[in-house]
Amino acid sequence: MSRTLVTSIIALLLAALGLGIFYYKTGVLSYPVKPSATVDSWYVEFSVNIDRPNKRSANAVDLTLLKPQDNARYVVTNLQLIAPDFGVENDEESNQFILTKRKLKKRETILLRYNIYAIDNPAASKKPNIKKYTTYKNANRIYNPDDKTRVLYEEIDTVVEGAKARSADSISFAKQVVKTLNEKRDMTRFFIKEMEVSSKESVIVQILGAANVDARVAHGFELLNDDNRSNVVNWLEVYDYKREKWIRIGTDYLQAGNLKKYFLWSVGDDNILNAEEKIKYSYNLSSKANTDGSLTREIWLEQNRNPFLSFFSLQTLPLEQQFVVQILLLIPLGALIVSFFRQMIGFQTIGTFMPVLIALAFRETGLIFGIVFFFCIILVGLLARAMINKLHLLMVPRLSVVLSVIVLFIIFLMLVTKNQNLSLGISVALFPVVIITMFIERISTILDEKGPMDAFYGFVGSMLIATAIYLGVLNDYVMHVIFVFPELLFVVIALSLLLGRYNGYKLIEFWRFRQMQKAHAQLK
Amino acid sequence: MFNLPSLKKIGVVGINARNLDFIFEKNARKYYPYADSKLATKLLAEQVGVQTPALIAQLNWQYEIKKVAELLGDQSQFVIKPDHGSGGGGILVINGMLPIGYKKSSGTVASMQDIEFHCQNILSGMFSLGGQSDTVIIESLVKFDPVFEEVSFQGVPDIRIIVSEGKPIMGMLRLPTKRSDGKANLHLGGIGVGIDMETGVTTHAVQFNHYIEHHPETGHLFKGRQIPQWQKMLDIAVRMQKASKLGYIGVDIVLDKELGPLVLEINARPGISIQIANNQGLRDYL
Repeated sequence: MSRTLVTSIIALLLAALGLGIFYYKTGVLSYPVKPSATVDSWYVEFSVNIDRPNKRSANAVDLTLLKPQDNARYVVTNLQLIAPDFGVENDEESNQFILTKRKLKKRETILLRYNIYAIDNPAASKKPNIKKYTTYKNANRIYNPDDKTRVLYEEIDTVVEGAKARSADSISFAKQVVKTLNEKRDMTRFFIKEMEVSSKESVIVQILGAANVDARVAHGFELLNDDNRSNVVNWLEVYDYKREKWIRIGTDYLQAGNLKKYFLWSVGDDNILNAEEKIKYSYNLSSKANTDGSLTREIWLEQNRNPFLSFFSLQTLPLEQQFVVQILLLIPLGALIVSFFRQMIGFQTIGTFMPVLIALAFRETGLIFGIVFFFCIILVGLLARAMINKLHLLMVPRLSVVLSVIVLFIIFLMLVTKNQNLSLGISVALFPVVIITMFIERISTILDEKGPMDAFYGFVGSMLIATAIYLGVLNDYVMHVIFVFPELLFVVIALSLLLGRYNGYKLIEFWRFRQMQKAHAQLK
Repeated sequence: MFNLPSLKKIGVVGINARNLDFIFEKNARKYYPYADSKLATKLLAEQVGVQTPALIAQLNWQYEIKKVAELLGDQSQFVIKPDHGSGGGGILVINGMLPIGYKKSSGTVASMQDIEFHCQNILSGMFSLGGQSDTVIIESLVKFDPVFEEVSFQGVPDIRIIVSEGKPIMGMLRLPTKRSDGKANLHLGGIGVGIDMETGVTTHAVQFNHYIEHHPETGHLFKGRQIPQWQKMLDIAVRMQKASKLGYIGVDIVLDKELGPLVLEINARPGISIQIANNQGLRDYL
């Protein structure tokens, strides 16, 4: 049997396997082929880093971490706490984890992760329960004339009277209180101290409570559609008895409209994370949206009809790994495109799979800026190489000189663009510097040996293929499809196999042999 | 334009087909070193009684570079090349001595330092496939036969003969031009002239895939020139192919006015432009 035949058969089998699984998942299990326009589920990771203050201090630590809870809009599933070497008490009643440890290591990390998904019909949810938070009602007012609390009550009354005069209902009243406290910072500080609470939001809740308006402090974070870091923020929620629901009110720069995109983690005066002792900690909060409709939810809720497939589904991986896998899966697709352009069309490239890496770099910078930036950097690198060419340096040290110049240039670009609101700073740093250096070395060798035309063709070819990969592969649609259906890589292998046995002409060869065709036509 | 015969009909072999159907089929990987290393080719040629340019020196290590001046002695006509070079890269041709240094074939001057730097670049693998460290070869310069002087500009014209499994199937005279910087490399603008295999007489000439009649610099006609010692060249090519155990190779031969045909190198991946120069496809020879 000829090699081409064997290859074709293998390719056919692989393609059948990949497409078979794909068909089963789409047709029978109805996995969504298109990313859904509306996102309804997220994967959340909250990691806390605790640093030991110093060696001699008391190292015992006692942390409470509030659990996220189902609320009117979202359901929480798969809650998982990873706190190695900590004593963990899961307090169901107060909905919190209590983490204790006698002796802290230099650095400790606690990881909490969970999935949330939107409730299909929020209106049908049960009535919210209203917990009273207030302690400063008129009925509680027992004070001595010389008591400090008297001043506190009088101040509360001042704020309440002022806000009442300027408002029509409980919501607008609450907004007026917020406004007053935002304007009078001294007064806010006074309240925080006298009421012995930790935040401005708590003060507002108490003042509203004094005026018989039910309110609470809410803690949560913004759900972002693109993979990103969020911060825990506080806002105010006021209960609207007419509509029978909690109304969100921003207490800082946040507007009520923007708050719609925030996930409510917990309510009450306590922060999500509280430490008994004074310890230094920092947190990372990241969330990832799932654009695959109900699929992820099914897997999370173990409603999937095929446990074997759900075991192999990438949605069950931890978030960080999902990000990595998403990129990994795109590389073979990019490589397939490079193969196609080189074997079928006849593009020249500088470095075989360089265009894939360039395309990945474009993800960070965007296409147009990426090309301009890449061009600049190549130019700078070539210039640097030309300048040191006369010094007759050995190859590897010469490469490191060029590398250093490129790094300097990138830092320079970051400094230049930092004030221009271009947010390019980080993105340019992610350009694969070492690869660019090799690219420059290759280009200059080609320049020396084969002349500027070949170097130019190689550069243009690499750029065009990188652009094709960027537009054709690195888009939401393809990323979704390959992530949900990784079995399609079998089809990619099949296509690569077939391309590997393609002995037909490249497109450019029709041009290359054109004169020969003409000569033959004349002979006839 | 739609009346042109298809490439397939003419029997043109594209790069993909050359790789799949000729090179992968006929050339076993393990024999590639015979073609990739010029020193190995030299040894092979010696074994089958084929002449190559005389070896002046070979440098394997960095410290040997300091001895280059000593090794060269009063030689004033020599060629420095990388053992594993490809596509004519890294070849430095010195054809004379001047009071200020060596005279390069392009007419410019190279100092001893330039020569040492060039050797250094070769050793560090700048011109070798894959960039692994390489060996420097210094050979005496071919005193090429003036028979092609009318149709070449500087540099050394050579003859490429493609041999497939014991049979010479296609030949081409490669001529340097001003454009190609004295190199007989078609890719750089050198001229390929087809050769009638029976008689050794030149036929069509091609530059950058276009047919031309006259040399752009010298103005002389390419067609109808007899290649001297053609039968001997064919014999040399076949002997080299058999010795190399590679089934399909291109043998590059130069004509020295005193020594006759010398093998410069053999190529396990000969290019496909030779088809245009001969106005004939390679497909029939598969």
